Amino acid sequence: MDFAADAFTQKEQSMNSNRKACIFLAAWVLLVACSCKKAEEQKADHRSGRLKVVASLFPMYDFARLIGGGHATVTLLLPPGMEPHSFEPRPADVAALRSADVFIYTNQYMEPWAEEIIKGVDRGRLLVVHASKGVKFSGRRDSHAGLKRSEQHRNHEPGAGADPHIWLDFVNAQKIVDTIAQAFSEKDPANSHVYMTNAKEYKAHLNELDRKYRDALSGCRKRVFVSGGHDIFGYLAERYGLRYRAAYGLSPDAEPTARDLAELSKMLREEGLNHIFYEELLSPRIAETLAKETGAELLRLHGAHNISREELASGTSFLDLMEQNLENLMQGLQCR
Amino acid sequence: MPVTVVEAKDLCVSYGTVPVLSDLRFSISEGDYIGLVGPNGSGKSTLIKCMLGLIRPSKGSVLLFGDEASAMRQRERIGYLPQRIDFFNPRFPSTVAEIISQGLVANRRAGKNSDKERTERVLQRLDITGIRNRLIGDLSGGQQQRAFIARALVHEPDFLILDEPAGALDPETRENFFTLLRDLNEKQKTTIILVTHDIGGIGEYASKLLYLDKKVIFFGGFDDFCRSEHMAKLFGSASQHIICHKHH
Amino acid sequence: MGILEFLSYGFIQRALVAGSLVAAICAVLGVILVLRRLSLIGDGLSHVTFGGVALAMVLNLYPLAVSIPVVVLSSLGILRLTEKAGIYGDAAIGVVSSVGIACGIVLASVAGGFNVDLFSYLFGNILSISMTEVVTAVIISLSVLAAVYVYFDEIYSITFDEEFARASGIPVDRINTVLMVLTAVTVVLAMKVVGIMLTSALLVLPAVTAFQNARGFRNAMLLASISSLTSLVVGVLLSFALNLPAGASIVLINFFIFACSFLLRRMARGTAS
Repeated sequence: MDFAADAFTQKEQSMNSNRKACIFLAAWVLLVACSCKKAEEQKADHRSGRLKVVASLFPMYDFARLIGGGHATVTLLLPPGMEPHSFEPRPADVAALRSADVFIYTNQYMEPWAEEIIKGVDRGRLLVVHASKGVKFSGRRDSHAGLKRSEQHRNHEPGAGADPHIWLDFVNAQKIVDTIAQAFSEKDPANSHVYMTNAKEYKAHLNELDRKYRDALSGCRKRVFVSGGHDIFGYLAERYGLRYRAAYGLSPDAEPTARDLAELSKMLREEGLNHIFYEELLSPRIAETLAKETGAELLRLHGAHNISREELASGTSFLDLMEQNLENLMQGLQCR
Repeated sequence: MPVTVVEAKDLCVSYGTVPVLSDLRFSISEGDYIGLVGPNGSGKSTLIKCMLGLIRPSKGSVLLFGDEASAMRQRERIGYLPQRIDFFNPRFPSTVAEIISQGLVANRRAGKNSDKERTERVLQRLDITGIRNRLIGDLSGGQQQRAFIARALVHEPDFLILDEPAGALDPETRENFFTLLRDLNEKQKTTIILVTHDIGGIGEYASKLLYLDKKVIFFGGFDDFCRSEHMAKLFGSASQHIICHKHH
Repeated sequence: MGILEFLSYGFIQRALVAGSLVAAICAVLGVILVLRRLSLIGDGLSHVTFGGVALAMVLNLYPLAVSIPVVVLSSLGILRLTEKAGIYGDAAIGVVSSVGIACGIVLASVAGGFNVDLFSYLFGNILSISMTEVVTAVIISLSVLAAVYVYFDEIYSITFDEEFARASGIPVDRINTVLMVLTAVTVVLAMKVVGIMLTSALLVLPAVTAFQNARGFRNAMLLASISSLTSLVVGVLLSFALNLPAGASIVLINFFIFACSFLLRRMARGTAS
């Protein structure tokens, strides 16, 4: 029996367990420190009076950002590059909402998942803003969220079953801006004048955009355009007196049928169109098929639901996207 | 010197820890006609599969025409008739002719041809020319078995392994079948090993007896078998008498 | 719009060319699979294809290019599980297939949700097949048909009586591996035509149809191929005539032909004494 060795191992063992306890304690302290820091940051946000805003889609995000200025931190719920039609909110998203002051989304038809995550949040703190409030909805029917016909009839809520891509009509967009500014003012009365001023400024830009579109698209050789993506641009087309067909007509998820493709090809040929439009973030497969069939060229028409990582990094704005769209529309409609 | 067709050297096969065959030592020469008998579970089918190289020995080895059984390449020299219940699915859509062609694949791979002639010959020999294009599932048990026999014989193998071939056959067909086997054995020196439960009849066909019960209980000519007292004890003298009486 | 005009569209022609060849190889391999009681493998491997497509979307690579190796490896994995781990065929398929789906779901979530593109792989997108894809499908299909043709006797032998095949010197394991790889590749191509959800139907229905009235193995192969090809062409035409999705139309016609075949057999048995 080697007592010396035994004693040594005993000492080693106790040293080991001591060491483990120390590491454990250190980790615990670090964890607490980090969470304290986070709480500090959050409190800092509130102490500094910044509004925490969460927006569901890019247009609302962009408007809120510009209206809020330095007085609001705005985050976009949809991760960059994600296609919005089948977004499934994750626990992190619900958490983000919990610590927010304002949540802006279009309506239950554009973002059917929004109602669900709002339910889990304390409404005492969170102000929920329906961006579609007071907006003029198109008469065109669209089963975007898969509403059953019976539901559509029973539901007298404005916008039930209508095309929800309201921000692509720049007059509607101005209404959205007003709604957001009002909400901000409500939540943060101290800075109300800032929000109102910013809103006014931005509305002027939107007005200008509307004028540009009207001028540019008034004297074009073609009055119709075709898209290989979703049925998004109804408002835009209506506003400037254009006709518009999309490959994904009524159902957002079902592939266009053989007949749809045949009819669209025919339409492109008969109308003498040299261009076909594809949507952002979606694979341009359908547009490419139609292009190959008719010899048309591809042009992008950005619906602004969401932007890619690159666009986010380069600070692309809603206005930028609409300017690009105008360029492409002019080319497709043979305006120059 | 006659060719050694099969040689078992201390052959042992176990499934897990359960021994199925133990210390088998024997050799089969060209021209032998062996009846392989034994009680149920004695390992007869396992031995057959070892000879064919389908099962690897746990210990020892079995040589087929001089090569280790599973590595033996000249498969066209072997004809195999497996036990009916093992493989046969009567709902499988296949004609008699297609089944027989299964027996010709080995030949094709060895570069031999004249498939058509061989097929005709075997169809005639087994008197199944009329049903060559019938679906196997539509035939009687006896006709089906004849098709499988044809499959085993079509490529004119040197060594025939038959696992209980005659059970489904009617007496006349059985008679013809055994005559055919005898012709092959006597005229073409085809080596035959035939697994059977028919202890009573085996003496009529085979020249040697291999009695298996996990081990080799007896292997040798019928004369030795009939003279052996040990065998009398094992079988009971009445059975021995039947076998030996049948043996000419 | 008449049939002639309909057939003049490039995307219809591409769909018919690629679709026909894929239908043919599905029929041929389907006969083999169903007879070997491996009918579930089409379903299982198509679930893995879902995982492959999701992976491709995350990596921003071409879905077909990623799916083919993923599915081939999975099919070999199924083979290994049945051989080495002693798991029964259907359980092995279940294991691999559920892992495939789960990975697909996780990857899809990472990539940014189940978008419309992923949906189109679930239900088929034969109408938007590109020229490259057509060429790929044609080359692969012809290779599969060639392989089956060259090894036809061996494949028949293995399918009918595997033990006998082994005893007659056929390299059963090697050919089984090749068949697995061919099946995997066929499943990936079938995804393009009828989608992941319906791939199994394209493999199983023509075979089962053939077995109703087949007069032999070769005959069964022929009947399965005819039934599959007819379903494809009529399915595409029908989808146009009634404005229905192409993939599902093809499968419904497949079933219709099976029903006719089944009735035919019942009647034949009725008249025979």
